[in-house]
Amino acid sequence: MKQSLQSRQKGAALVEYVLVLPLVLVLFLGALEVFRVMSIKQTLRAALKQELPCLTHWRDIAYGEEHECSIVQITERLTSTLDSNPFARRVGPVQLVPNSDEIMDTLLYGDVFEVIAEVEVEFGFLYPFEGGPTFTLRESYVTFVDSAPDYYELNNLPLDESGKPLPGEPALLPGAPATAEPTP
Amino acid sequence: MRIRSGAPHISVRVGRAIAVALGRFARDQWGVETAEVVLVVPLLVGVVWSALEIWQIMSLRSTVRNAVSQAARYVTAYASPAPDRPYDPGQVAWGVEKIIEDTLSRSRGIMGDALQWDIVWYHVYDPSAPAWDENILGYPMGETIYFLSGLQCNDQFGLKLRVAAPWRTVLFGLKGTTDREWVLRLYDTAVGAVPCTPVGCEFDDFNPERDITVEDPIDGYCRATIRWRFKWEAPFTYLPQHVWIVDEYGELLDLTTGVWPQDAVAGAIPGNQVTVRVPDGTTDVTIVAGQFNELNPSNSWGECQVSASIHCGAPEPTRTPTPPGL
Repeated sequence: MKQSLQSRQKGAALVEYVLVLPLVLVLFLGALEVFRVMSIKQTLRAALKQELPCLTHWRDIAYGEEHECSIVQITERLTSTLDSNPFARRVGPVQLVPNSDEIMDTLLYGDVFEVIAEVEVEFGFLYPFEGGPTFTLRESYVTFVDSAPDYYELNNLPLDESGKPLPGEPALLPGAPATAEPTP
Repeated sequence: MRIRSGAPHISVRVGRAIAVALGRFARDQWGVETAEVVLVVPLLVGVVWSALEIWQIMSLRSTVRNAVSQAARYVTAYASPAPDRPYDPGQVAWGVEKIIEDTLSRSRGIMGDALQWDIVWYHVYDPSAPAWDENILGYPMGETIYFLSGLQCNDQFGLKLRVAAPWRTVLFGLKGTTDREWVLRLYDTAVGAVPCTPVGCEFDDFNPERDITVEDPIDGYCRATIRWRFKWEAPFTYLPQHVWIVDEYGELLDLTTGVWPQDAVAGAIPGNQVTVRVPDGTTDVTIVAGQFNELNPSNSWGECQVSASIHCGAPEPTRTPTPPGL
């Protein structure tokens, strides 16, 4: 009778353990997954914030050439920054909205617009296999088109291909006179 | 008296059945486990719900910070006073409000329409002073245009964004309440400075120099070689690309383009010169740089010009002073 009671208690404990283990595993892996998501989200946010000057100075051609501010280049930098995060494995390329130079070109000085960076992420801890379910992480900023010298109708310095001011060459060198018709 | 016997009333029988079932259930192991689960589930739900709410509030906090920082940047970008070129405070106010409104009310925003916000502007008297309260003058949101229209070059300002979120809405997703005790308030402040539009003629070290030489007259005209030099010592982003040479009637004698620096940081443009033909007699020539918004946004004939007289032909008679008494 006593032995039977002990075996029953062992069985009950085993059943409880089997019932509780998946729940504990889900909680533990879920916590890790949340941490991973927060890490990726934070990296995406920081990367997008770093690109805000490029996006806000969109109409400043000299600035854009100097800092490589096309949408493709910005997207590549975002993806590269995300790749540097060790938790950002099995993460798709970053999609930027607006996603083309042409759309950005329609913005005028002072326009307020929203820029969104989103990325498809596969589960890493909860489903550690390839081809699993995905979810979308999204970061956004509401920002605006910043002013530029053109806005104030000021001249910008002519720049060379590297973005540095061109070496000055006087329009008229000494000894190269230009003759103008006098006013009668 | 006849005592009525037989089956009890149906309600009594149901009650007894429930009591027996509960009694067995309570004594049964499965019943105990179920009761424990029923007790624990609300706790688990509460923990998960609290975690979500913390995420929500932290996200709202971050959103408020982003909104106020971008709004302050809008002010520094478009509230840029320049001589004779006032900015539009209405446009700046519009941009600030739109940035805040859009940031808070997007679908990715936290509470959407439930959020209420207002702003407070601060004029900072002394940006080098560490104190805040005694160093500022506040303006409510209703005085936005008044505040923005009074900004001067190099002014320091502060912008505080106050967001009120109905607490029940934040916690339970219920619609808002007017009860002040149930409103979650978040604040954030950004500071900025009003930039100065670069105006070249206001630089003390930007001095045109001229040297006009009259050459021998040919065909009844004189050739006058005009040289000038712009020099600057401070870093200077905007430089004139055209130099106008006009006579005393404002007629253009020559237009020189491409006046670019040899050194964009500091230096001079040596040896720019042009030779113009001037008629007989005395011609007043003025060299102007940076007009038509090239350098001076005021579009005025400011100090970026020098004048000189060119005399062609026979020397002008020298005036002798009249002796006193005559």
